[in-house]
Amino acid sequence: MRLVGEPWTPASADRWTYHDLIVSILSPLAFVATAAGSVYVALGEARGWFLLAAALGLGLLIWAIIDRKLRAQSEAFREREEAHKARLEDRQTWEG
Amino acid sequence: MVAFQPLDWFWVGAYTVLTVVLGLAFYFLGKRSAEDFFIAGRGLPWWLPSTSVYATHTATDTPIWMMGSIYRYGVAGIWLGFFTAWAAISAFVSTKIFRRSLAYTHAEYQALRFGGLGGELLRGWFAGWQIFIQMFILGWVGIAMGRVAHLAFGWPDWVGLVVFGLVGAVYTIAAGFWGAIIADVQQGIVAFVIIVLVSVWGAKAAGGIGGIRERLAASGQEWKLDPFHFTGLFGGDFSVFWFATILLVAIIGGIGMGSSIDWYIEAQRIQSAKTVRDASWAMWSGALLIVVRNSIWAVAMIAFVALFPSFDLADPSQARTAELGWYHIGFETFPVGLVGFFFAAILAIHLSTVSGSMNLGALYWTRDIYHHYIRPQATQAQLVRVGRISTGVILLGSFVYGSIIGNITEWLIFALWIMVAGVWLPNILQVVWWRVNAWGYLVTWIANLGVSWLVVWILPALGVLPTFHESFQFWILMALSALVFLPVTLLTPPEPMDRLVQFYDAARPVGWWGPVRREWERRQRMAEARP
Repeated sequence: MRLVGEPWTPASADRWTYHDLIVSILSPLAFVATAAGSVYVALGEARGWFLLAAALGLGLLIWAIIDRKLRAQSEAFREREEAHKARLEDRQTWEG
Repeated sequence: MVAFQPLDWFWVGAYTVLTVVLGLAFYFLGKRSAEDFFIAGRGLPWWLPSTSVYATHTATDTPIWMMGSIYRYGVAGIWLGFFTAWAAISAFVSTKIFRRSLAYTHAEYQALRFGGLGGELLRGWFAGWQIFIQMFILGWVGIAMGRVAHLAFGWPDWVGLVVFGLVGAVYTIAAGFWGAIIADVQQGIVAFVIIVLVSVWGAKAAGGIGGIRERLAASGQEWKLDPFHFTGLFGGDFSVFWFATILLVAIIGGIGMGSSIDWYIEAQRIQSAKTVRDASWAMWSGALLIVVRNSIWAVAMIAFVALFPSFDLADPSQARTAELGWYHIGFETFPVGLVGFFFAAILAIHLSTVSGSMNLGALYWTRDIYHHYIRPQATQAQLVRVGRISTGVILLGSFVYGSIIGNITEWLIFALWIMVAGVWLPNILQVVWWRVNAWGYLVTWIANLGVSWLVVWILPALGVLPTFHESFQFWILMALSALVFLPVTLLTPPEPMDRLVQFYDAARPVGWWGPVRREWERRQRMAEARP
């Protein structure tokens, strides 16, 4: 499986893969870098720009890794959403 | 007191009319069905719930408590607002699972994840708890708005609570979630603009960033410019240990559901997104925007610290003045016209939170109590009507809470804390471990109520235990609740496999779901083999 550009199918996208693990590690790092970077920039410190650049880079990497998978997952769920919705309403009204 | 000129009143009047009219414009969409009234028909592109996440969590009380943190700990105080980073992992884990469950609320999710009586008890418990909490949040931010209006005009606190709550109610009752979320977009933009402007004006008033630095150095507080200044490894009010605990509670908590108090309002926004992908990016970007907002806010606040470095926070009246520092900067440094825009932006900040909480409280009542237990055969028109009535009742309830909030604040902060600490671990495990059952989860919630009272208040008051800092409280409560949660879970039977397979089929949870996944795959093969 390629890290970026994997041709996801609905079935393969529904599985937890190392792509999910990697974005789950990168994403908090992006948040910490954004918080510290933006406060440093606001206080006029140059290192803030490096941190913000790192946060931006991490954000783009996260997007490149996971967005195609999210699209495939959305497609997979859309196919079965109406059936689940009907079942949800049946349960809501004690008929399911 | 601020002397408003006609131009300032124009901004306030024009903005109020714009907000109400824009919200009312979505009346016809809101009344189509309960799904529209509460989750905008599950049809929103990611940027709408994203802006709403940010706008709803930018409340009138936020700059008050954040100002208190920055005054005390310097810009390192931004980390106390870092709990929002739960969405960093949630966006790619629990958000997707929750969106696919299709549950309108966290309460309904319980009845899908768990079966039978236990699931229903959990649903009823969460619904009641959230109706109460949303009234409390409304009362809390309403009184914060009252304090701001008092600062600006000398009005009694109840004016801010009641009058501006009613303004928000007009379009929330008429257009439901549609009205709230569309208003959130413009309110979020207006709020962001004013946060930047106050920081620029505040820094200018203190002589620029260089001036802030010089003033803080003169008062021996230059350390307040360091976002990583801590009071020690474990000791003091803001230790490395507390910082690490905040990061861990927030970030790892994102795997679970309900592990942050923000979860409940975000759950509604997750369901309003039109796809799983939209829900994920909405949570991720909305939370990131909050993180950026906090950092920009910090500049105006540290400018206030530099200008007025000697407030004694141990003195309640001085602490009260210091906590309103961000508002002081805006009211006292903006020129004519801009000061009116500032108050209009405060209204935007207030109304976005008020409308969101009213609609959410009404959702729990309408979906989880009225429709599920009282009138399962209700029509869509009836559900929308009940949604509107309960929106008004939630607001009225908040007036009561707001009027007594001075006496119950400490208890209610405690109530919010126990939602996070004692059930943090079960909130995560119920998402990633198939074996968690309703009884283990429910008993832990109940035990958590008692254990929290003992550890936080009763035993320290009796001298049996010392008064622990929040960082230690968290770990103690988590460990004690695990001692209840794990034995009860393992000594009671798992949820019926049929229920778990149905849940898996819809939500596709991740983690330790092997036995359920294998059963689901077996049933899939059987269904495909059937002629």
